[in-house]
Amino acid sequence: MTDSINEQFSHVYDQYIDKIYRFVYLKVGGQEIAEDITSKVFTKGWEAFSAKGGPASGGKNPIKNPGAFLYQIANNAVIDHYREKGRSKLVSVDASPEIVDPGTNAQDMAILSADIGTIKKAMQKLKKEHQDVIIWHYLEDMPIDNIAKLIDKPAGTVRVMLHRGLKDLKDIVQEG
Amino acid sequence: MTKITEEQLIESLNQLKEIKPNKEWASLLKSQILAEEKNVVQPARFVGIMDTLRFIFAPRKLAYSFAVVLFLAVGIFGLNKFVPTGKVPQQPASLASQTPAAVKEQINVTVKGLVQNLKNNPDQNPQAIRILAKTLADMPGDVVSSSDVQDLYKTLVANQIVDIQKTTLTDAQQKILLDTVTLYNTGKYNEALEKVLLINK
Repeated sequence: MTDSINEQFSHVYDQYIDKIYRFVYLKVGGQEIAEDITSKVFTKGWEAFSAKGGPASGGKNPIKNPGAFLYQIANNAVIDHYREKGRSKLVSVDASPEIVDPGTNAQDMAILSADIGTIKKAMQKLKKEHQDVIIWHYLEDMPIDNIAKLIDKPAGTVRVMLHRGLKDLKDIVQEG
Repeated sequence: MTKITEEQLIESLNQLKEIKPNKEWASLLKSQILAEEKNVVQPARFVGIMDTLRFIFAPRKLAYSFAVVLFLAVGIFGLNKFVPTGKVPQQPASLASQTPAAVKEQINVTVKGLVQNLKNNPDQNPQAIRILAKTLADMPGDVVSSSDVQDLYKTLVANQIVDIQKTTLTDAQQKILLDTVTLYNTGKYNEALEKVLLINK
């Protein structure tokens, strides 16, 4: 028997809430903003899921890959966020006090210590496409082939992007 | 210049996996999203309550709002804690067959449980309380005017005021807080709740 659409989405939510939050957090650098954007992502995701159905719904045009779908919404939401604020990603890293969120909780304070804080800030200075592949591969343990499908590029290109991304990240950390 | 190897870099990246959302926030967001839409997800025991409320009170908003309150109550306090009188909400089938007065009593039991728990545990997650307060603010007049719900409003507002007083406020927010305290002191708890939610936006 096919799960109800609510149960399917509930499962998707549990599977992706940490991943999407982390993905957004590393791009915007603040807890409250990350929570706001993540809320929007899952609200939009649920609306689409209700309308189209999930992979197991048997609908006409179901969402086949909920993870990819949510990451796409998250990407757009982050772009919208920076557009609304009228600031570019690169400028925001140095100029915006929100990068170190004053509302950061105890858990965040712990992980922001020493080099982790440096890596986090350095991540925000990376090119967006490099951020994406590094987060997916090294933080979410996504295989290169899956990333290739997600961004619709050959696996070889993804490997090159990872290599360049790591090199850039290393340079940024060392310069910092 | 700090030298770092690729292995150290990857190790540091792995540590970023520790970034996770607040569990309570994630749980509340899930229940809020699923409860907002037409295909409302409710625990089985609340389906009957919702159906009955929808029948008794014409505005569907109430039924949904109250269902969310129940949902949050369980989420915040746990089912076995949020009804201190021991009167656990009844099963849907039996509740659905009861009179409107009996269902209203069920609401009162739940609200009393919430009030008691808020008083006993004032340090609840502010975001959870905020969502609960917003949900209550959406309820229609006949339910809001009951003494139990007024007591819940009073407790929620007091909780929010104490919480907000710990934070740094802008001049505008300080003015709203003063207005909130004035309304609270004059017993206008639902108006105070609306005010205090402005600060929390």
